[in-house]
Amino acid sequence: MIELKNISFSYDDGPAVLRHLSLKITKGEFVGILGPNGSGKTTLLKIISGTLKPQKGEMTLDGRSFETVRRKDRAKFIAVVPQETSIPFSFSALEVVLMGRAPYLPPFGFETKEDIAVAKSAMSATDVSSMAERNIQELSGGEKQRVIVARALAQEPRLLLLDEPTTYLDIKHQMDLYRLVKKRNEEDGLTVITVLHDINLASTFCDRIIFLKHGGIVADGTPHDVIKHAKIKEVFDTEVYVGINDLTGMPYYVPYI
Amino acid sequence: MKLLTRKRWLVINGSLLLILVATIFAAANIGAGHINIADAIRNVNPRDTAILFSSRLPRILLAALVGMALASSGGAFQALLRNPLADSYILGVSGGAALGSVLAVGLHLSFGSITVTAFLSAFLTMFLIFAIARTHGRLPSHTLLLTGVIFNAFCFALILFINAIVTMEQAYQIIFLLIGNLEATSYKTIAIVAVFILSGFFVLTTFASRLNILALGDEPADHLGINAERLRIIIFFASSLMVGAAVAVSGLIGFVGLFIPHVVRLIFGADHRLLIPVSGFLGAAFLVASDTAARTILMNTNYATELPVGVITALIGAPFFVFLLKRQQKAL
Repeated sequence: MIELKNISFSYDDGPAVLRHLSLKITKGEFVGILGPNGSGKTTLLKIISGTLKPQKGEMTLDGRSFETVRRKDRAKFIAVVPQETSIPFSFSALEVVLMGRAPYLPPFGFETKEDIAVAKSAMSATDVSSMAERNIQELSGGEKQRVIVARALAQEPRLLLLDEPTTYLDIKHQMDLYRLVKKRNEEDGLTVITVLHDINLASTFCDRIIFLKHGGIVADGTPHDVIKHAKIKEVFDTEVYVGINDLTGMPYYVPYI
Repeated sequence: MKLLTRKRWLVINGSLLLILVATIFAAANIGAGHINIADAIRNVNPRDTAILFSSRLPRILLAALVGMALASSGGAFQALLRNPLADSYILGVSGGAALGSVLAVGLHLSFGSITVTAFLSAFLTMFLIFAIARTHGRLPSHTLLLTGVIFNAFCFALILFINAIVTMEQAYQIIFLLIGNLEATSYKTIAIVAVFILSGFFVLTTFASRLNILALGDEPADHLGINAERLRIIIFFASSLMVGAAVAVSGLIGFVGLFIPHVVRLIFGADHRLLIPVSGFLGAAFLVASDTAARTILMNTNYATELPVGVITALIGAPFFVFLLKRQQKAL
């Protein structure tokens, strides 16, 4: 689906943020990218989304060279949910979700019935249908983030990128958000790549976890493969206890002094 | 808010256009001297014809164009800077245009040359601000905003300097420019101003749906297939041309660019596809009405004089601004 070969990137003339990074993501995967601050997680996501262009290396999207994919076509393929979205005007939630149809509209066009149907079904998938008419600025953090996920789904993407989408949410809303994304992943085969800090959340939802450090991949595998005492100590430079959750059989960790 | 369809767009814009035409017609009827419009058009009464075509109509058309320019560019700047408190003067082009006018007044140039000088300096300012604010080929909101604010402050310092060294009569003229004032002008000037303002209005309306996406931020816009960098540059130049032309002929008429887009947002919602054209039509009607008030309100009193239209727009706009601010505080 998307392949990165030997990607290197630095901001302006600064030090390299990503070094000779290669990565292949196949359809239907749910990938978590984790690593300490400054390890290049968000930069990697921005390169995959096309926001940043790597100085070195090659990228392909479905076998096509990434640069030859037009911006609008890219927007029909990849959707992004950022950490936080500030919207300075009083759009209704439905209007915001309809913006996800932008890549499908002509330059000065109006949404068709079909566009509205897609937006409404995205809103029901993220459980925000009842808020369609509400002012986006008056929604709570959790509600607003689900509206933004609905906007991303309205793009009918094949690849969904999440950049620490639950940073400002409580545990319930974190779980709700990832659960609904997981459902789209399992039911529609939507490929998901998420950057996150919470190893336990990653263990719960991701079927592949990538640890990044100093702009390179230091571990790549299933939660069982990578969530290990020695690995976490190496990547995060912190002592942790790793156990197995009896209810799910998945690994979890607890830091200690 | 009801979703926007092509039909709704046409109905609302059509209605606003009718309101504008009705306002223009009413304004042509109102004035210090009573005239009969029908007679004036048929040229039955030369006095009426002269009042209508040489005095009232050019001024009304100018008010409509300036109102349209200020209100629609104000709405566009609010989206461009992602700041609902931005107005059409915020990016400094107005300061450059005003400085040009004031300089022309100070140099005793004729009325026609004042407009030309103002327009040329607006044009020059536009490129200067673009050159200063541009970073790595982009036009980021914060540098654009800072450049505009600083440029305005610099121009006003120069304006006040000129104001201090000119004669009393010129100083009086400068005050009128700063408050914003409309005067009857030649149809040729109106035609030139119309070309700039109407084409700017057309560009803004065409790009209005992309302004919705730009309001989410540059990166989200990129993820939705919009070339945010190019869009910013297009909007900057189209709006600046409109504002430059408006300030060149009317000085700094305040609050229209801030107040009208907010009224439109309260009534019709935030969708820029509607906000931009409706602001244009409503701004035009509002300024025509305000200017009619400005030229008649004191005529039958002991003062028997005209007010600068900027006084009227500020008297209506400033309290409304406070109302908006209070509303926003409540929302926070």
